[in-house]
Amino acid sequence: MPKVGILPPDVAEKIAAGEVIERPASVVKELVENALDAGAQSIRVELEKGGKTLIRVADDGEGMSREDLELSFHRHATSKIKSVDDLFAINTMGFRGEALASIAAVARVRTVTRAADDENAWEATIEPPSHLEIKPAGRARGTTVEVRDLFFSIPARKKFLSRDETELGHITRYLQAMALSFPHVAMSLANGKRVVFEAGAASSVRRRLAAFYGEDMAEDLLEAEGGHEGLTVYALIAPPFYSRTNSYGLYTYVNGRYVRDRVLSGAVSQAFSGIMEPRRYPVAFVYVTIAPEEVDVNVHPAKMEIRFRDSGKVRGVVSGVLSGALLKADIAPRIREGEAGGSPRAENIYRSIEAFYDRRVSAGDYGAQGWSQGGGRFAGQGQTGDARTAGGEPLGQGSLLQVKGTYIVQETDEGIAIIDQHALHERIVYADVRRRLAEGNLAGQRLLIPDVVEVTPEERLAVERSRDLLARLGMDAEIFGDDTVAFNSFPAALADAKRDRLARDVISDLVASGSSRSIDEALTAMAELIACHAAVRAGDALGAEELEALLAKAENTESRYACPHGRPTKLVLTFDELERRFKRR
Amino acid sequence: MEIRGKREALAESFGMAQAIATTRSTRPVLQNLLITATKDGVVVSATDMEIGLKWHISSEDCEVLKEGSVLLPAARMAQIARSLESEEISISEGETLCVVKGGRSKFDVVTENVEDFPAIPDPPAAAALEIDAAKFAEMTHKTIFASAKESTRYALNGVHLEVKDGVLEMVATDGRRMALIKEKVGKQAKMPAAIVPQKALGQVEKLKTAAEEKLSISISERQIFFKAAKGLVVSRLIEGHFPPYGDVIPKDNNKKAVLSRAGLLSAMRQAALMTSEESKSVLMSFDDGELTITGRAPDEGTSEVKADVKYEGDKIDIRFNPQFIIDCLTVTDSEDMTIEMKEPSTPALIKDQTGFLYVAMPIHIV
Ligand SMILES: Nc1ncnc2c1ncn2[C@@H]1O[C@H](COP(=O)(O)OP(=O)(O)OP(=O)(O)O)[C@@H](O)[C@H]1O
Ligand SMILES: [Mg+2]
Repeated sequence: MPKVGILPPDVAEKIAAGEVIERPASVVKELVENALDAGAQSIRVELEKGGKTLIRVADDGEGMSREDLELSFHRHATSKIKSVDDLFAINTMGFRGEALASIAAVARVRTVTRAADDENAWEATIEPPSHLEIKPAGRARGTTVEVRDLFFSIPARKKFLSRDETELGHITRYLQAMALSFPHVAMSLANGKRVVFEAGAASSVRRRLAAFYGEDMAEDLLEAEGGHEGLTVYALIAPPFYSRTNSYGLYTYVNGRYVRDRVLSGAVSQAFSGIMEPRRYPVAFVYVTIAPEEVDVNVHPAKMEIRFRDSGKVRGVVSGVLSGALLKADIAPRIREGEAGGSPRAENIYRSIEAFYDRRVSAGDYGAQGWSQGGGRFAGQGQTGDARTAGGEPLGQGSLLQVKGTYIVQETDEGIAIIDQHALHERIVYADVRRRLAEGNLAGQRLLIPDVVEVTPEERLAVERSRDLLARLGMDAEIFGDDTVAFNSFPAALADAKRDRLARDVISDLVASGSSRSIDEALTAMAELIACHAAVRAGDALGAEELEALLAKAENTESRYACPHGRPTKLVLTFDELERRFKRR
Repeated sequence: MEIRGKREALAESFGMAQAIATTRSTRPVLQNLLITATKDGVVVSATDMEIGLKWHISSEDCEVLKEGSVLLPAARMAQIARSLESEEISISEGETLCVVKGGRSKFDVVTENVEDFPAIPDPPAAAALEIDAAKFAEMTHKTIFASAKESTRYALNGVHLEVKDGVLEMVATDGRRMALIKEKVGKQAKMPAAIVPQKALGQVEKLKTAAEEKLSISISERQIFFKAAKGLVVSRLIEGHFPPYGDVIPKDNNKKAVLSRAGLLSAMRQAALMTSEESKSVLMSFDDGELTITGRAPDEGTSEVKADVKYEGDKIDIRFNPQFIIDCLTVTDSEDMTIEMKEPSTPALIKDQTGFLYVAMPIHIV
């Protein structure tokens, strides 16, 4: 009795239809899911040219009989569901009976398979449009599917494939995601002669994570576990130190399926709110188990999107479990009070500034009534050389004040200027970095002993293809073995302590952006990162001299290098406005 | 408890204690200092759990009228002792308050429970080594500046101490430069390698009160003890691996320059005036008999400063953060310095005439 059957039309038409195969990574995803559904303990993925000319996935799962093999290439042929009801309680990766048919429609496919109880193995070759041939073959239990020359019959599609490394990057990302969900299954990936990774069966998610991210991080991961009414959450969370500039470090799973879902990522950000600095994203691995009826995976043909029946509940439970663990671990950064923060005078000014902010925001009169945004103001002063030399003139005692280690308050001819020290310094450094890049390459401070960063295979690939770019920025990166990158130098502008974080952020940016950027875009992005890390932070107490130097520097910074993130660096409270508010007028 | 002593001596000890007592509010008891009066004299202690201090006040300077101990706020006591104008101060314990008197002034200070104060460990019986306190201070001075300020690689935030074949080696590095100094301490000295926090070494310097004083150093499992006549500083050691610094010292640098320390320092300071804060670097060009240092600050201008140098060999252009060079020139007072180089991208070795070694990593533009 064959396991695979053709779905009746009423079921078939309820399945989210559309493009299943977009690129090599989609093929890998479908084949690996099939292997997992077949109960494989070991899955090997081999590629040529990033999967463009060959993808081979071999498993040791249950295999297929001759009949099943033949049926498997038909549309709507599946062993995983039978009726419409099954659609609402899916507990396998596949369920549409679409994948093999879709692949066979756009590539040359050869499958060799042997079911556990079969004496023979069978080999099927299929070429579009649909010429199928089956003959006996030899193989141990399991299935190997070979997909050659993807899109060979559709040149228009083939044209849209990216460079080999980019496609390989996508595949690596996906396969790593799956490996993190099935720690007990051995998985390996090779491209041509090159082994990208080889992850042996691991005893736990944490052990598996160690294989990809290194022992250090695996050890630092906080564990969160809990649940409510049939919903359980298990998560491993990296302390904020590991945070990234993009959401690439967040992996979410529902019933083992790797998903990209707003509800889950929202729940994670909620748990991290107040702990994470703005514009940074956590590294976390979140595993949700939920009754199959409670989640719809039949939303999108790629099966990466899902819909929860009660998303409010999921969000609440997930963020609850995560924040519980985060709170207990006491990793929330303490706001360091700057020197000036403690004095009553500073306190008062701070409070009144806060009050002004409140009123400004509530009244909605930002910029209109005397608060002017300082975007181009520094440059304006420097260039026109007029009388308003607020920042440049030697300032008397007390006319510069650092508040909360974050803002600089300054008396000017017009009124009171409030300057965000980080935003301002960041802009200055950014301008400097851009200018130097326009002239040539950035200077790199060499290190006595290279800084070593543990990387995932995906990250290593990204660094490898970006070495020239990094060298231009003064970062001499060297690949050491499979899982480490050594930096021999760093941009000279960078302060001592900030190398670690810059390295991590640069790598995560390289991974997230793939190879789609132009050199200039990439340099701009990197210049921003360097500026951000080289700049003084909010919370760094600055001495009077440093404050003055910072403001003097602002004079020389050209405004065409706008603040990298477009945030204002300075607000001015004019005397006119003060007098109006104090009802002197 | 009741004591009466010289204001100056008490002010000194309270000042020492205040430098160690924390201001953090996480463990308020650590903001205090402990005064212990016994028939052996008066001891003032303070700790922030990383570093501990026990300061001995001699019976000449302070008289014990009644034995006992009190816990008092360190910062307040230091202020009081500093600002009193009398020759003597007396401190006597009451029910809940402690009375501090000097001249015609009197303070009632609230005391804390002595039991809450953590015990500061005593050093092991046998010291690992003895060294001239002034010598040790000099070694500290010549290395501590090169250690990292707040590196996430904690080992770099301290100074590495090790005794090898009767020689004490002190090393510090922030990953971009490294300072190393050695001193013979005698074959019998035995001490495992240890990484000592900067703050602790700063305190040790203050232990030295008399000329030709001996400092004895000992180590227990996770702590290091520095003991001098006047007092004891205990510090937790920094855990972690210190980089294999021996490997970092270049061995085959074949371009050797000898120049006057003062001359180079002055030239470097001048050239550094024209560099930008964001990417501080100066270019040192060594040619026959002449060193040219150039700096550039975008939009502001350039500098070019020349100095005499004993240098033969091929011209070399090598770029440094001027501060790195200035730092190593200011900790020594040798007449001449030697700079050994190889390539613009490889480490330079700088030496004074006393055996002080400094490795500076250049800045390199690909
Ligand atoms: N590696 C494999 N080992 C065993 N059986 C397999 C394997 N790959 C495919 N099959 C069988 O072939 C059938 C069709 O596979 P296909 O991937 O096309 O559909 P599906 O997995 O059922 O659904 P989906 O389209 O959602 O992936 C599967 O239902 C399964 O029975
Ligand atoms: Mg499938």
